[in-house]
Amino acid sequence: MTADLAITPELDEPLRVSLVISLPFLNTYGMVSNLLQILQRDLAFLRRALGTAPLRRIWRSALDRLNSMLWTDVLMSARFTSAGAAQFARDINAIVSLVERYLPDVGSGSLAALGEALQLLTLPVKLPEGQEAGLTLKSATDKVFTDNAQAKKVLEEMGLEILSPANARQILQRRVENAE
Amino acid sequence: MMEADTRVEDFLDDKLQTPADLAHIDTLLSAVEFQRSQLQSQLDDATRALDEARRVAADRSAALAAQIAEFDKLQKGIDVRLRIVSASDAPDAAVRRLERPLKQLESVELAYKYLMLLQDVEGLREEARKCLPGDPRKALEPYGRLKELALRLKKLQEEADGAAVFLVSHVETAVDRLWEEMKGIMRTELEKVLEKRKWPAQVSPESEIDEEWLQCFEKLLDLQLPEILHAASTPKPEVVTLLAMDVMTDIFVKEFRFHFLSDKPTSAPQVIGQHCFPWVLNLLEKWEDFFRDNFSPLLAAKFADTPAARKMVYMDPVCAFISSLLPVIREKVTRTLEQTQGDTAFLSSLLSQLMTFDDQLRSSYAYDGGLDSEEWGGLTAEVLATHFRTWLEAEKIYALDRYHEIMATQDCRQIDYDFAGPGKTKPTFGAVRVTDLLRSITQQYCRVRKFGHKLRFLIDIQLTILDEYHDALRGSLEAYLSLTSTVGRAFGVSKEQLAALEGTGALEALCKVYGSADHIVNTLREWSNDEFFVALWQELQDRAKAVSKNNSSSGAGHKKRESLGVGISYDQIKDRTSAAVGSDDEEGVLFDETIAAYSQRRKRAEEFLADALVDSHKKAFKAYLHRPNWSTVAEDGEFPLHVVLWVTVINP
Repeated sequence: MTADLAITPELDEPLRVSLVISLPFLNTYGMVSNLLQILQRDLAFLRRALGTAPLRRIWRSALDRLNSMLWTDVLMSARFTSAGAAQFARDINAIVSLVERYLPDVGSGSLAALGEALQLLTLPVKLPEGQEAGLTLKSATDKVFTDNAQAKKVLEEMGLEILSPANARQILQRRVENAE
Repeated sequence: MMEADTRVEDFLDDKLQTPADLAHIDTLLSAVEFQRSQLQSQLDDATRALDEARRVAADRSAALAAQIAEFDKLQKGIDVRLRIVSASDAPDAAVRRLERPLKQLESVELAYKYLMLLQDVEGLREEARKCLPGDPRKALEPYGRLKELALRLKKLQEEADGAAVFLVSHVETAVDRLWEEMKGIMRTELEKVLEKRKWPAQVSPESEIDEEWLQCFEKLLDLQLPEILHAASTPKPEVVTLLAMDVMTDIFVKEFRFHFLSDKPTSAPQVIGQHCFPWVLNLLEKWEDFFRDNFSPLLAAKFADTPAARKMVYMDPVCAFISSLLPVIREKVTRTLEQTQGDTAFLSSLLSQLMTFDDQLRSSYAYDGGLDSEEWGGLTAEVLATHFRTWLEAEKIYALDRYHEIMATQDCRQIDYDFAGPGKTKPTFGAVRVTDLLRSITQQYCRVRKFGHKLRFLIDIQLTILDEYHDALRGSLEAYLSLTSTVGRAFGVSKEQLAALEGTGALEALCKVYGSADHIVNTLREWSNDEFFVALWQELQDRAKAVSKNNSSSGAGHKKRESLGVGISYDQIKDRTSAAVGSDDEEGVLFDETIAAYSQRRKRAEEFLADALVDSHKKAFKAYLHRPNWSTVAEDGEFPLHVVLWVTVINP
């Protein structure tokens, strides 16, 4: 997912604008934009004051902790509809994109586990029109809950390297469709 | 009776064997009568003899008794006299009475020898004098004998517990006076030549000197040769100035005195750097070729294959010229120091100028003060021998004042964003100024020759400033911690202090510490590869290892705490510089301890920075984490997320 969003430097500014434009669709707009502002402010400030190496170490350390915070307090605490999952993914994506602009690979690296989790969490209920093969929420859930071997196959198929089968089951359970 | 009767019977039977024999009875009777009278007379004689003997014996014993009595009397008399004798000191008195004449006799003998010696001394002196100025080499022989005599007398005097003070000192004086006389004669000869040639006014620096001049020069060299060779071969050589060069330098010394040791304005202590040193250097430059061209071959020939051949001060005429000039320059420096006592700022600048002057003598003329292994310390070393502490203290006060000034500047704690390009950590203005200050201190002492002096500057001044600055950075971190921790906040923190941490304030406060510590660490790392500090470190290691070695062999551990000859203890040096001091660790550098301390501050600042970011994130995410209901979010279309973003990216 983050690979799709690898933004070239020339597109930096458009992205900022695009985020602002696209965000009104979301009811988390105010909060995320505030968040992004603060992140951007901190990134901009520290990039001026610090050398590349300490800057990356410090952000790595801080974002690792942000990753666990979002994992525990959002991913593992809430129930997601398809739209809710999509929105969460968008928010995280915006954060990662922002960090990537300043520190390539740091944002995607630190939030990688969350990124993988979001790929699972945003699996569609049905395949988009015209698409024959692919995982749906249901097919993936069925396989993941069958056994570890099946679960590993799903993870492999989706190119997820960090998540364990247990993780996968926990994450898929966060979808309201799987709540029962 | 019966037996007698038998014998008589036998006798009678024998005599009266026949009746005829009876006729002869008368004859027989008369014979018997005769024999009886004979026996009677014998008996009488014996009785008389016995009586006589008895009388003689009596007489004898009487005489003996008399003799015994006499002896007893004599014995008693002797006893009495012995008692009298033992009670009296008559013999000592006698000995004493004899002593004086004996001593007088000795004195007369001594006086004779004394006079002989004095005569010898006088003779040798005369002999030496006679050879001059024609043949100084020949004059050296009697002089040498005289000198030897003086040395022997001195040694004998020591053995005799300082006897004959007058004699020894007389001979010594005679030797010294003769030497002065000999030198005087030879000097005068050269002086006359110089006067005739109108040296140096009428002598062109390009000219070649004449034979007479050169000969006079050579004769003075000959005279001095033993002295020079002796000086050159002693292990701790003292430079002997060449007499010939002294004579030629005299005129310049006079000029020097006229300009710089008089009451002329050029003699003012403050202008020593403007006038005095340049004058000397100009003089050297002007006459350099003259001396080298005219005297090099002579000196080379004279000293070839001698211990002096390895000494520039004897082999090179320009170095010899410098040697001859140095005493008056030294006098000027000493006078300058006396006149400016207490003016530490001037002392500092004087030392700097002296170091430059020394360096010029070293680099332009290869002057080495006649030293082999040790490098010539120059006039600077001579001044520092007595004034180092004053200088060090003055420089320390000045440097610490400068440091406190830096710390008091308005923008000291501001980050200097222009210090380096993007991607580089930026220090505060303060950190940059502190390293500049430290660098300027290095400039102050890097030309000092003595290891101990350099180490004192490093430890007493540079490391002291680095320690203070380190404490300041640590103080900043502690202040930050007390403002941000709940414990700290409990102690009443002002609104202004908290406001300063708003926004990027906290990050900025930490970046200042990080950037400053980073700047110091990098600077010190860089210096650790600087030739000057590498050499200093090497020397420290060599000395420390030597100390360790001596200790392990003597087994005295306490010695290790003794200083390395610099007035600071071994352990103190180790604490202040590097734990690798004295070890075989190849990795150590001079600033190890300081770098470690600053790295620690930098690490803490980095940790605090990450924590500050997390705090900032927590605050910003607080609402996000708790508010949204992710199961009631409005559907926003059928597009997968990334398509939405992709579209918005291309079509904002």
